Amino acid sequence: MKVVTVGAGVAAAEFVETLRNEGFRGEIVMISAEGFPPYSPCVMPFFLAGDPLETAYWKGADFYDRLGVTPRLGDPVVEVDDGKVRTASGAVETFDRLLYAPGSKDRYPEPSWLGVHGVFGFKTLSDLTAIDRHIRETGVRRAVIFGGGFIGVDAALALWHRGLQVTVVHRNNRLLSRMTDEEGGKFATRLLAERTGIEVRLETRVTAVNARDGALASVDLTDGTWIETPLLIVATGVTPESGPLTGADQGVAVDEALRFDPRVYAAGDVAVTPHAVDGRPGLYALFPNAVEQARVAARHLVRGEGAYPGSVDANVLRKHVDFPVVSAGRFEGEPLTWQDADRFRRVYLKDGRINGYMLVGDMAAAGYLHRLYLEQTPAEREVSGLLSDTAGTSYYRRAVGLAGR
Amino acid sequence: MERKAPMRSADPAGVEMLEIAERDRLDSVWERLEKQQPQCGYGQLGTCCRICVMGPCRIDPVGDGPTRGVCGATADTIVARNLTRMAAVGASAHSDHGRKVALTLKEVAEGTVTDYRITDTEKLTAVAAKLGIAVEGRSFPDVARDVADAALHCFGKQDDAPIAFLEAYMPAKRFERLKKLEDDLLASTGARYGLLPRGIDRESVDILHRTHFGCDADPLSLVLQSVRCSLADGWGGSLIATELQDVLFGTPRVKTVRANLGVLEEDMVNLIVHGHEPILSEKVVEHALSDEMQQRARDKGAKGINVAGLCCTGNEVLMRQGVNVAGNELHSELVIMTGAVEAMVVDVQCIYPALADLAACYHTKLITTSEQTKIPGALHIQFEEHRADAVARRIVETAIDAFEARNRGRVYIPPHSEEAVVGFSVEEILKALGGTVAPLVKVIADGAIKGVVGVVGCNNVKVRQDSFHRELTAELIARDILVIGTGCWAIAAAKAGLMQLSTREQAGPGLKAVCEQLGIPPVIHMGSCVDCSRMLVLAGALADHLGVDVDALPLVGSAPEWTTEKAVAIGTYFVGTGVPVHLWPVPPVLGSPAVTKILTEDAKGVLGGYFFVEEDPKAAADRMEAIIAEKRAGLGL
Amino acid sequence: MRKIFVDYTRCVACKGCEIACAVEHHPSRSLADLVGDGRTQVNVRVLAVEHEAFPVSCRHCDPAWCMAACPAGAISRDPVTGAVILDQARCKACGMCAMVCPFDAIAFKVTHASPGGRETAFKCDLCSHRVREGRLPACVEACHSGALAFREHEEVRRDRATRNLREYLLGERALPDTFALYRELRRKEFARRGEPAP
Repeated sequence: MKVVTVGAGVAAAEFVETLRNEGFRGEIVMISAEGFPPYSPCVMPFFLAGDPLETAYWKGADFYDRLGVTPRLGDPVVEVDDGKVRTASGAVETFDRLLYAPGSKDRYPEPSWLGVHGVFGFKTLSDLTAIDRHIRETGVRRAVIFGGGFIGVDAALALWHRGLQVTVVHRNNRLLSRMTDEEGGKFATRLLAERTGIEVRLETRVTAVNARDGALASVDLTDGTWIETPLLIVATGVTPESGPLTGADQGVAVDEALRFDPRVYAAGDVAVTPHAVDGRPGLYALFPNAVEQARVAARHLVRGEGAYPGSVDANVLRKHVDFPVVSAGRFEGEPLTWQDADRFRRVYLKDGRINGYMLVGDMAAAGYLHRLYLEQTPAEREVSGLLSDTAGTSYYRRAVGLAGR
Repeated sequence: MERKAPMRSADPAGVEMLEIAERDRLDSVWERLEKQQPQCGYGQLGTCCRICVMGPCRIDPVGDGPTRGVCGATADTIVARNLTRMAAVGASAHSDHGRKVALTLKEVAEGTVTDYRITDTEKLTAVAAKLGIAVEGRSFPDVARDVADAALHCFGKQDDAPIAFLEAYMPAKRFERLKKLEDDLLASTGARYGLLPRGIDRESVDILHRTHFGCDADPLSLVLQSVRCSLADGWGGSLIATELQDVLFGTPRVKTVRANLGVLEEDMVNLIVHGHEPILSEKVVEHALSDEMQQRARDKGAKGINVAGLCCTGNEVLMRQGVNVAGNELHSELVIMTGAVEAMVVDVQCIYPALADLAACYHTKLITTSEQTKIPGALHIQFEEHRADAVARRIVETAIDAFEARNRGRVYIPPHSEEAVVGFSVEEILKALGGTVAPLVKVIADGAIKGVVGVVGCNNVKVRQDSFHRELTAELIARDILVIGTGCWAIAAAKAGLMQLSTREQAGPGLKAVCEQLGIPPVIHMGSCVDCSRMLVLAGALADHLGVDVDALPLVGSAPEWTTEKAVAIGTYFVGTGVPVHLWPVPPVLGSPAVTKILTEDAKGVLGGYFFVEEDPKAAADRMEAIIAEKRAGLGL
Repeated sequence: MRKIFVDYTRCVACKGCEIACAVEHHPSRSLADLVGDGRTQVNVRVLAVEHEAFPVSCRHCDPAWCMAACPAGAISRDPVTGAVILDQARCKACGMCAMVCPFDAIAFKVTHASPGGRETAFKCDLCSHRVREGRLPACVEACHSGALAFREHEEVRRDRATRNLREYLLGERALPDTFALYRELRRKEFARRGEPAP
């Protein structure tokens, strides 16, 4: 049996490693648009902040050799059809089973901006190596990030850590707007701006990029001002790379074994999966989901059994700073809040169970909250104590029989 | 959100200040207690031994680990040694205070110290008479020198006879009982166990010796030595401190004061005296009230100088000079947090090192004065008896000079203070009774008063401030039990308004009637913690009057919020005198079932006094009432 | 696999485990050298849960949520001891592991093992280096009162069942009287402290 993966990212690498761990000895080909060993997008920004590139290769730089994989790199797949994949260069690879896991791509407000030297996305290691080269070669000291979601803030923190003067331009009234509700997000935004000195321009967009001699010179903003900068990072959103498989960019619907069809599995940022707690289908583009999807798919391929329990949407931003922003679930239901000058914690309760939560500033209660949320344990009595728990005792209160007192 | 403050203090002024502390994120003893959790159980059980460097050793209380230290010491030995050392430290603290008073009296008598004088010649004569020192035809300084020498002899004499103060003051039956006990123990065991103190210093040194590596390992022997050492405190060092302070500064007279943070004055220079000794604070009060200093304060924009006490220095100047008291031990940080204190001058004992950092957050000067209590970050102005006036002046001037730097925006004085009738020395109590204890014996005999409970202070941050003091006191007086006491308990009771004449309305009908007849409150302030000796003297007077031993009397002692090693010594000399003593929190002895049994059971048969532990004020009152009933039955009442 | 089991009713809160762990994981292996050294790694902490003391360290779960969540490949399982090992050289301190650890057993700071003076996550390694040599984890060795035990899970389960039965049938008490009294008085002391004003 011959197995091909479209993509060589988190899902594909975990899939391949699981296959080998499960005893699969057949031929494996991995096809990727980029030219790297599998890398972790979560770790990648640390390269920009000064860490060695190798640390992004979270399964090792020798991955392909170690696992006996034939890599086909630097050649994106453009079509999947009836046991074959075709790449941009016209090469064709046949398969018995396919893992479709190419991830997602940046969505640019103006595709033409990409032609300007100094404008980059922040989605791939190719983007980051290009940014790194640009900063080194032209001595960049100033950067504008357009988009203040997770990726935009991730980029801003990496460049801030590198010593650049950074401005984040964001259309919403707070950063990390998908991870937070309004109050929590504003708290996090204030903390981020105060603690780092990163400038945040809210309810503002970049309307135009101005080049001088083909290189970026400044960006115009909706408020009529402009910022002189040689570096603009666009992080305004992503689209799943589902086109080559489905002909549309809505993601890939899969069954409980992560199958798109009897021969094709899909995993990672393209896969549309149910939410582990509330079952709502969606694109839950997070590292732990990609890993779990890949493992389920690989085991299913080998053993013919197994089901995916669903995706989680718990995420944390805690890079280069000591005030994490943690969030999970839906911000719907009865909100319960605890805060002091440095911390903001809110839980949304629904039917006495945790429906969603947000923690800014520290993680003392995070793990136990996560478990109560995932297991949907009745938590009404415990939750107020949990919110004000600054010592991390909540789980242990339950363990010694003091919970809810 | 849960409010911490009401759970930390039962005192409304305390609660208000704690809320400010929480709002402003000020560090406090309560915060530090939380940060110390969990506290080591070996320490709490008394089974951690750090005496030699083969250790430290710990005896597992659960039974899975080692049952002996490296040297072979068992939990019983380790607990007994640790407890005995606590008694030695506590007794030393009280007694060393007494020594300084005796030395000062001697120097005053000899004319080498001229800043003090003999104030109470009546008391001097009475003390001399008690000690068998001739008075007739002699000058007061001569008598005073002999009294001082007699006192100093108790500290440093080297023979094996009991110390003179104990022999002179202890009721006869108790003295005989202890002497007989020594003889009986020698006869029955062939080993010598001592109970009558030979020298005040010697009994502490004896403990340091016998708890040295490789000496006394016998829990009974160790506990009995802690009794002897503590008796040297109660009937020696503390007694000397009380009696000779009365001679130097005057025996307390009944007077009315106010208690709690509300005694601070917003427009005045507030000077707090904190610690345990009156010797400097008497002078501070004197100079602060002088026209010159009051004028100096007005020149700086203040309306004058307001001296207020804290802790037992506060009790000393309250008893003798009628100085208002700002609070007890747990108020020592809160008073600075009012932002209205120019200076806090401290002498010795119970002074948190944390005060220096806290004072530095305000304009407040923390002034240390004793060679034995220096605190990094504080201003040290060395006190010496022979230049007491000069030192006191400098302290008052320092306070006045700090006034200008006060940040008025940060000032908040909780509007709480209660009136208290105080100043009950034994002499004043006898005066109220018409010169003899007979009327008191009568009202006890006819059941109007069932008995007397003597309570001594400390606050302990592990107990909600003053809550035990307040609830226990209220419970007892409602049951027709007269409550007397000292130290931080007395301040707690005063702050709670329990020392007013009108408090008798809360008393049972018998006690109420007695209070009305004598014109006293049902809750009696007898002074600072060193003045627990006054309670001993009163108990002794009752015993001698009836010709019985103290353990026959319907008396109970209590230290309901105790903290310090001094409290161990006090509790132990009460027990050694024949009084059952209640404690909360539990002392570090539970690691040894043997020591626990000696203290709570065996002591009853041997000494008449014993310890018991009870965490609930009402249950504690029940137990005390039962003990009193038992004693009354024993007396045929 | 053998794990560290906690019987918190026997924990005396002496924090001997913390000290032993700190010494074991300090590059100098010396108590004197770790005094004042903020990089000292202490992988167990005796947590105050009201009157109870609970020695908290990694439970070495299987499967381990932290391991699945780590995007840096820094968390793996020791093939010999079964311990969940966090390689600080690979850790980026992104917080994913701590976010999902139900036991709050992962902390962050600059330790002696952190690369480039950057903060990393750190946690108990089950003293795998000691266990491989047939020795006990340092914290277990330091515990005198039997609050920590290093045992097979099945064995502990069986023991606990028998012990409970003996207690039930024979009235045997698990703790000596005075220690039980000490625990009860401590509980009361804390309970009174938590009471609002009457």
